[in-house]
Amino acid sequence: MVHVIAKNISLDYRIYGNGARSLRRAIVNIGSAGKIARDAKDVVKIRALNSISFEAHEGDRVAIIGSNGAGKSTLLRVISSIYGVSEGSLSIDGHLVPLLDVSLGIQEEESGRKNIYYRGLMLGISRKEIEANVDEIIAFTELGDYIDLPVNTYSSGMKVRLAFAISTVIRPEILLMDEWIGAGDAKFIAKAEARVNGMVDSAKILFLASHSMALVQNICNKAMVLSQGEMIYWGDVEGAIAAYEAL
Amino acid sequence: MREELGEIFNGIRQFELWSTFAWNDIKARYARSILGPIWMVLSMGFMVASLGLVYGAIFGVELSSYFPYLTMGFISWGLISSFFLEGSNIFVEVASLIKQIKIPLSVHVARMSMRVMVVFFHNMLIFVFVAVYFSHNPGVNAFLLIPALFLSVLNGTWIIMLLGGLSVRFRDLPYAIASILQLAFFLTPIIWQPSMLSGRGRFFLTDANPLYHAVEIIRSPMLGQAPAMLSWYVMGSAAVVGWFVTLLFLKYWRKQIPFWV
Repeated sequence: MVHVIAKNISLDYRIYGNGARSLRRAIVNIGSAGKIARDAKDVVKIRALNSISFEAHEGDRVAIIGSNGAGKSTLLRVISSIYGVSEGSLSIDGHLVPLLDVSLGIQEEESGRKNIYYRGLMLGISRKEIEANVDEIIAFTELGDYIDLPVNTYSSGMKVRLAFAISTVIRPEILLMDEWIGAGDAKFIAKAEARVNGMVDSAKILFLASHSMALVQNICNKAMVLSQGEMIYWGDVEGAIAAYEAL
Repeated sequence: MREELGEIFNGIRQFELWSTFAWNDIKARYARSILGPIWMVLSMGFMVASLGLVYGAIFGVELSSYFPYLTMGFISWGLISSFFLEGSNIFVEVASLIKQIKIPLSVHVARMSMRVMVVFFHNMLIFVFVAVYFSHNPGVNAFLLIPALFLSVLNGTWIIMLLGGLSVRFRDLPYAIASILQLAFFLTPIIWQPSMLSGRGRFFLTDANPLYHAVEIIRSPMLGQAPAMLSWYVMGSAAVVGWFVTLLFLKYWRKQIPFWV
């Protein structure tokens, strides 16, 4: 069964000032037993997430809402296992793909076609599978012969279309999105919209961090509200929006 | 440490990913240059040729044996120093990937190692050229290069992983490594031969110098000699101890790396 279960997960991390990162400071710090080089300890410890618990099962479309800096993106990175939790446990069953940065790993020097393979491999799709889908992706980008030119010759719109097409070809069981992705000119937007909808529909679990309440109401059936790293609400979407607005 | 080992093997298994990356790195570096990777070979070739002539004359040694020695020493040093230098920059180089998607760190390490090995084999062309020119024949001992390279990669990969991880935390480390390596190049018998020294100095710069053994296991087979048992022992133990320390490092600090880069 596809699921994401979080039990009391917390995430702490330290931010090192420029000083604390240097070897000299670390050595001075040892030598002086931390007395002289008090500035060497310009380390800030941050509790980004505090004891968050939730369960998501097949069919759940979970919205993550909260103001800027509430921990939405951090939570998505924890669910993607990019960040390991400091406390608590996280159990994930299912093929999970984070779509946090559409232009992830685009190699500017390489052709669009090469980049399709790159991204596919990074997301855990085999060369054969990509081969089977490559024509469809290229057709979708509407790049035509440009697909064999290096990406740094593309216009910004073309780059977005390429990145978008590559990112959305996968059909993961668990999909994570940091804001709804959309791309391109008016004509392309409609196409992109349909594509993302298809992807979201085929995903068994969706996590969507968003500021748009209309979007959340439209798509999600569950929601959590984060505030300063704490989960202050977990339940249905209407309740979450009310809790968020009451903040 | 099981989790850490698991991640490492998970990454090694993704052969398609890291080999594609490594191959494209090499191609990207020489994109639109006409000679491409030949530049790499040419620059080392010129260096070896001129140093060989100058130091051959200074030391007054037989060029037909000095040139293979110098060439192979240079190529081995190139490989070893790349492990250190590339290693200390690896995670900074792929920072955006580490922050955006979960890929085992060993994928990046494997990519880097393959890149370094491809350069090594390119450079071997110089040795082949030198060997043919001086009609130098290493004989059957040349096959010892295979276990030697295996052992080198085994050591190189932990060096990349450990230095890469420490360098994202201590940003001074890559600079320190670069300057130490420069000094080590002159202290390690590459241009000069151990037989030119005597007494305690010789012991410290050869047998007590791990970099000497690292060079020696690659160089000796191509000179037609079996590397000394001591060199195999040193490199073997370095691999075991090195990987153990690296796994310990990962156990305590792996989680911090995405925040550090």
